[in-house]
Amino acid sequence: MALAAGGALSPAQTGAKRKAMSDITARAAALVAEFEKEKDPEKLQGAADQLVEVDLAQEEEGLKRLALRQETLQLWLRLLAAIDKNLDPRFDPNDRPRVSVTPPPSGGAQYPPGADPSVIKDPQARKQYEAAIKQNRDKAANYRLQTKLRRLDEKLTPQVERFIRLSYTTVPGDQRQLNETVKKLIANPQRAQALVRAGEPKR
Amino acid sequence: MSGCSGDSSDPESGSNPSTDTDSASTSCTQCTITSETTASVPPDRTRTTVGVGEEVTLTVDPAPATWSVSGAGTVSPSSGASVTFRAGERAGSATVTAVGAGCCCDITFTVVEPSGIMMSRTSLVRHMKNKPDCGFLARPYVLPNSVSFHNIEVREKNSAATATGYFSGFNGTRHQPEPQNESDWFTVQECCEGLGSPADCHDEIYSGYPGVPTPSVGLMTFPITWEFRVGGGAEKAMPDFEQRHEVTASGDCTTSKGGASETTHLSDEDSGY
Repeated sequence: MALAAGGALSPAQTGAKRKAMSDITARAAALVAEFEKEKDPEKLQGAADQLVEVDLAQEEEGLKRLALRQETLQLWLRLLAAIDKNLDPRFDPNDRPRVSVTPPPSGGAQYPPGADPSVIKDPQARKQYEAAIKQNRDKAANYRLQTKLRRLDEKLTPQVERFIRLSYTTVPGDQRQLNETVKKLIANPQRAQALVRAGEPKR
Repeated sequence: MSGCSGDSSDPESGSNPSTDTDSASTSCTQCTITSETTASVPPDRTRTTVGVGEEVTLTVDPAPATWSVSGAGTVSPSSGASVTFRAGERAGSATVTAVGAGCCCDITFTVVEPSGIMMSRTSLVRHMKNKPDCGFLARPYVLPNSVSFHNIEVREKNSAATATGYFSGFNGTRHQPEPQNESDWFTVQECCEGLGSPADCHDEIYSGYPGVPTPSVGLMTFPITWEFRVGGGAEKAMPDFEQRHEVTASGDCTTSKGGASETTHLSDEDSGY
């Protein structure tokens, strides 16, 4: 994000920059929506990569700049809300999935890990093994999602707080808009408090 | 754009004199880029050799600047005092250039791919008394350990056992159950000093037991291929290696994979992971 005012732009250049900013926010919005459907954390990273390119200083008209600021804030908050919504509080990073699982003994033999269930002759043991395979795969998928969401949270939260700090002034109108937007989009009370605090006047 | 053309840059310091002839301002005579890897291990965070997908914070002085990259990586955002360089998904060289305040300076990174997997045992040895079986749980570490691969994912491809002698009953046994042609993808953590970057999984490396009470010479091997990818991109195979299970006529069993190896004797007490 860059807030420093640039040099004078021609009307054509200004129009192109505006379009670029609206393209950026549109792409970010689409990626957040895709994450909600697919649960692929790379989509959130992609959305964040877009949002850091938003340059409020490129929007020279005051009202449009305010609209861009509000839209960008909403997208950042939707992104953080998506992280919060999908974080599993019971996730244990020390409980790692297996590359493959060992089948139960059957018929006096013990097949090595990863053997196909069809080699297990005992139907009950085979069923037990198939369930263990599925459980491990589910665990692997969840481990990947939870790990990536936690990394994104750690990386993106300071970026959003920085955006708020640099983009919102301490005047009541700015503070009110920030508070209302956070209240509307962020369900996690600790996060909401931290975000509002990022925009508050420094003592 | 590839660096500050027309002048010799110093990739170690990321500093060089102004060459920005297009700029109206010539007050700046030199700018400097400092770099810090986001991974705290390996401990030299100013290193310019990084793993695929690895991230480095770059800061330019004087600031701000417009940033660009040529080669294996991206930079985000494209302007400002401090930005993040993200190494690309394949080995190569990347030159990041900062232009601003009448200065141009650049820094060059060498991006390396995983060179292999090292297994580190994390459990007791698995063995059943009076049966020639053996194995253990291990955690895979992505090599080399001179960079961090925490932004990649890894997985193991399926393969089929070649088994003879005592293990002949397992010949052709799959390493991943149908219909899987590979394991799931596993995330990777920041590098551990002296080891490598640990994958978020455990590998059960176990011979199995064919159900024949009397031991005899036998060998079972699986050709092993691990793949990596960056940011959900295309996968690429690392160099192949072998998982090996060997039984002697006296019932000693040795299991080896990725540099980890354990041997049990027939009379050893029961143990497991």
